[in-house]
Amino acid sequence: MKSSLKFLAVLSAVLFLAGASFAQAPLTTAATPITLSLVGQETLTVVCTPGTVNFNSAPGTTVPGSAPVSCVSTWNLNPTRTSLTGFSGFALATSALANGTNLIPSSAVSVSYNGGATTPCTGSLTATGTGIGAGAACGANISGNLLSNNFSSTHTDQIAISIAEPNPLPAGTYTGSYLIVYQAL
Amino acid sequence: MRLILAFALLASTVAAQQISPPLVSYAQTKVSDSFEIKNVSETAPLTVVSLTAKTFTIDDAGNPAFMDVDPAKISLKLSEQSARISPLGSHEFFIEAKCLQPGPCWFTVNVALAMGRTADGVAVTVVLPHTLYLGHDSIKKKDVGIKFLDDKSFELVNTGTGLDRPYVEMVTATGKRSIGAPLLPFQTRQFTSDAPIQKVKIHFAKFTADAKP
Repeated sequence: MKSSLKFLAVLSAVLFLAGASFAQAPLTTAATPITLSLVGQETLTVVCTPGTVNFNSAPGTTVPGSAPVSCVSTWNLNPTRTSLTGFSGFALATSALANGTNLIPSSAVSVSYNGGATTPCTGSLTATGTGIGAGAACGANISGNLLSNNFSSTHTDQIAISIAEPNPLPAGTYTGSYLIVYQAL
Repeated sequence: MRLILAFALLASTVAAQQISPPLVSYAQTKVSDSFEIKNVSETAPLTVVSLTAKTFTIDDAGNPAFMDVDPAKISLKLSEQSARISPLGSHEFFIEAKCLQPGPCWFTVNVALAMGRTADGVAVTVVLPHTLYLGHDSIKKKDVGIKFLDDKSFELVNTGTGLDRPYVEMVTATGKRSIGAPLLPFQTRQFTSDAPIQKVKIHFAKFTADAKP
């Protein structure tokens, strides 16, 4: 009887202590790494204003445009990206502006980029795919490679346009389309 | 008489276009690719007038010259040639491309975007690029050479058939200038610094090359 009681007491003590130990022992699973990945979107955005540039006619003189065109280009690119260059010009060298029958060639149009020297629109990019025709590009490019130590940035170009108006200039409303092209290589 | 050079669109509406991504490179020479055009204007609809593909060469100074894609060298299929995108809307275009000759190939898809008609009936066309390089990261270190022309300029030469777009770091006494440049097969590129170069470090996809004058 005494031995049974002793046995029960010991067993109870063992179970009590073991239970306490088991309750305190944490169960821990091995850490499982979860890879998180966020791919930032690469973008190029271009906004050019104003929408219209007017010229006050003065045959035989060089007439400036009513306002420079401001083009804001904004980009967010990987650091490995290489070059971002803007070009401008016309589709046809023979017809920068026209009134339906009479043409003003691109050679009569000049631009100044960001207050720099005036450049006639007579260049060739050898790039028919951009829409700027041979002999109708305004300079080699607008402001060179925009990517230098800055792969997430914004840049503004001011483009002042002037026209050497022919004399005489047949009457009529002359209109045209000025192309602004950005290339990323 | 009046001379009117008409641009974007109605005077009260500002045209804004976004392309994503403007440039992408693949190690493979056969790919299925896509890009998105987003009209970020709140009021003006956007018309994608045309998609045209051009390949290009680059001179020593980094100036590109574009030309028609040779169908014997590059197989190219565009999902569509035009689209109309509502204000704040977007459109995804798909490309299937493959280099038909051994080695890398590259081209640009020029996306011509018309902003609508002005009061004078003239539409503005803005052209944004989506450039692809296939067979990228293929330049071997043994094919790369760096040669200093003087203390402010150097040539980077690729004597092999590989293609990469290395990241060039020029260290001078006044600081560091970083620039990226595509390096096509058998091409030489010149780089110029405003100040005497102390060291150049060029990071290719799989290795780094450096040199001092």
